[in-house]
Amino acid sequence: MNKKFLILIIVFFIPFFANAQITLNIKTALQGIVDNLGQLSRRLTNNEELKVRKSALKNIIDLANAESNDLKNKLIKLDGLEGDYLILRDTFLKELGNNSNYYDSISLALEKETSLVKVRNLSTQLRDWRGVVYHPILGKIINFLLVFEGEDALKLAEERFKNISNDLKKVSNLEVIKDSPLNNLLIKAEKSLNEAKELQKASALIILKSGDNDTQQLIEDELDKIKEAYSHFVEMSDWLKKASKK
Amino acid sequence: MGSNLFNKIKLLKQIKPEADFALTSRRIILSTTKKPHYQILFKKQLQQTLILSAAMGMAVILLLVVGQVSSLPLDGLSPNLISSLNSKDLASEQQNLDFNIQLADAKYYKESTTQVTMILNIDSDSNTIKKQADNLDSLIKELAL
Repeated sequence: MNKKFLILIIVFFIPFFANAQITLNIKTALQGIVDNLGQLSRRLTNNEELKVRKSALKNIIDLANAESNDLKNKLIKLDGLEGDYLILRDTFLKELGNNSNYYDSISLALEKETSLVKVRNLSTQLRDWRGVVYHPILGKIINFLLVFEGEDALKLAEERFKNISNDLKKVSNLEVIKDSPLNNLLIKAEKSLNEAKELQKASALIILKSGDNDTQQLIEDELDKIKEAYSHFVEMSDWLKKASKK
Repeated sequence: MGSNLFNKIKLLKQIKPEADFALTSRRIILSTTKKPHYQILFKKQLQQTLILSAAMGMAVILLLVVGQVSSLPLDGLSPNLISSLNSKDLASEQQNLDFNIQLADAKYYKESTTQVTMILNIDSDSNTIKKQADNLDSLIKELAL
């Protein structure tokens, strides 16, 4: 492999992954792969290369299994799923189980291999299988999780809106409130939350029909709208603080 | 007339209680216990304290009422008046948004699959690997949070 390419992977791999909330097993497997890449960048004998490549492939299988377990746990933790969403979640869990079986079979074959060519063949076989089977299902699972994480975040924001709205009604007769920007800001926050809700509905429909990558953009837009609502809440809070100091 | 009245007054001076009555009355008076001086003082002190406390209490209530009224529409608002706008709670919920919606995880999985595919792509020629490395470099820079 090209040495520059290996260095780039080693330099950027770990800092990037540190930003996501990944499990310790994933981190350990990643560290193993990074070590293997470092070894492969040096001049090696055939036997040494065989050993390192076997180790790298083993680490990649460990990483895939760790990722699979991470996704399974996240899917199982989703509360309140009903109807088609529950069926879809169970389908994903089953497919992740099938993936683990495939990884186990490759792992078993790898242990017995003593030929560098055959180890390379196993790598190619795994790469192709991942492209055809794993990647498409992975994208759908990620989108499915994002939709329900988005729904929870929206529910929390709506609850906050409801509480602020109720509190504001209680003091609506005060002159200082009537003349304040609070009501206008609340209306703006409501508008942002309504838009977030529409995006949420759209993404929830897409994951049932296709689960394609557009879902992720919808969720990102939804998150922006929820953040927009919170920025209005914060503006209200700041105004209240200033008014109390007058 | 004058000397007659004078004589009558002299007679009144001679009026005395009966000896038995005088003796009984004397015994009753002597048998009554006298209240000690400090008890009287304590009672007076207690009364004064109670009166003072009541006055202070009334004054405090009056101050509170006046203070509450002046803190509402006159001088401004109490920050606790709309508790749902508590800045700490809001900041915490706002900060947790990115945590709750795991877009970073989604990006990790997307990036991870690309990386693993490249690593498994062991037969790539050096030009292809370089191109992949450039693409990967810009993607990682874009994803760096």
